[in-house]
Amino acid sequence: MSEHARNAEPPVMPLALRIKASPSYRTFKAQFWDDNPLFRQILGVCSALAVTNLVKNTLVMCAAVTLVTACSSCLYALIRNATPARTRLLVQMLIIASLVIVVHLFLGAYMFAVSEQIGAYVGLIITNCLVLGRVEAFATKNGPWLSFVDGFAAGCGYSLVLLLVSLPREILGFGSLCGLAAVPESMPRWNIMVMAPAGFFGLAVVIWVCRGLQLRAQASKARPGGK
Amino acid sequence: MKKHGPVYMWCYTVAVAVVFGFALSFVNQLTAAKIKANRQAVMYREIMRALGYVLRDDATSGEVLARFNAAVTAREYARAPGGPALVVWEGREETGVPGEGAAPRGKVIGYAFRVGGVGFWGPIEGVLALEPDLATVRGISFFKDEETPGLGHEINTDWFRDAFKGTKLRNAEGAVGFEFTARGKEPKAPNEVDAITGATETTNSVRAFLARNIEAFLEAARTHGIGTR
Repeated sequence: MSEHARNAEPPVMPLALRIKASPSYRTFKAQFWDDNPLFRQILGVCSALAVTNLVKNTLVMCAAVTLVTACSSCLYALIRNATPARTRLLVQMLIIASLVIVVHLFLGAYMFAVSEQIGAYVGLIITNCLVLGRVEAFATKNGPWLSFVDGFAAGCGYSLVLLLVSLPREILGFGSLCGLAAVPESMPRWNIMVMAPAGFFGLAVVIWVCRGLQLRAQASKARPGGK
Repeated sequence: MKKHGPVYMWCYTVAVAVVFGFALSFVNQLTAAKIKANRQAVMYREIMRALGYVLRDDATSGEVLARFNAAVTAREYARAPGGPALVVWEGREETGVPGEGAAPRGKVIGYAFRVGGVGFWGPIEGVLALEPDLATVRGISFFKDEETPGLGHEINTDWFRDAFKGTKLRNAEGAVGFEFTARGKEPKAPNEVDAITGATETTNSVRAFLARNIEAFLEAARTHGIGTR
């Protein structure tokens, strides 16, 4: 090797590429988009249908699920090496249930009106397959930071779909957005949008659109010269 | 201690359960008082609404409690031996600025008591307020129901609640209770109120439990001299 080549500094990778190559980014992208819990894995559908007729309730539910998923994955990853394999599910459920109860208590204390409306569904986060799924599939094999990112990304991916379903439901059903008037008073309200069937239709449309976008992106990558 | 041995497994599980149990107890202690105040405020808000006090929608639980304590007095009256006491909320004219604490109280504007029964899907609970004559409705409010949204759940809308205001507790023959008629029709009796279209079961249930609850209240009022002070 020549003197010049030996002294030359290694080429600096652009920041965007470094971020894209980092494990945190790849973990986040996988859960947020590539393997989104709702439109790829069809997990956590019950609450997605139940709380999406008002954007405010949806935001609170999304925050609760994101917090519980991220923190339970992180907490379990911290104690995973000490946890015997035979009791791991018991410990995982204990962590998840405790976090859900904490969220429930804080909602009751500081957001009582919202808690009264979605309290039952907040309690059901304990049984949300998304939360236990991420702890069991990822946090049992990875460190606390990556597990936190994975849980946070799964919560964000869940929130993305819920918000896409809830926005048209509140606007067309109640004529409002986050409680503020969004359409003229004279426009007739679509009562069906407030009821559960609209949640099914809305979720189906969002799954269809997102899966379509993913397939289109895959086809464009597979084409010769595609990115 | 072997990690996969039963002793370790038991000790570990118990330790984790104890740690999380303590953490939950701590959070519960931290929030219990606030949650209790919020629950109380919801009920007090409905009692005040039924008694005709005007409250802001965004009033905090602290504001509601302060105003309630300044204007409303709860009195308990014994009923059948061993049975639950009848709680009557006596509303008075507000003569001070809300939140000032011990505001002077004016004359009695009405008496409120709990009403409730089984609706179409689940229990319905609310408050009925009467004028001091104990013969005319001052207001009604429901704070718990599981009725169908858009149909039976309409019992909690302004138009349904307003339909009760000023109606009498008895019909021309003296029978206690309300008569429900098609919405918008001119009332023919002093105890007629608008029914909810498409929610016959809820309406029937409300009619039945209101008649029952009013009868029990009027009997207690006669026994204890409520409304004669």
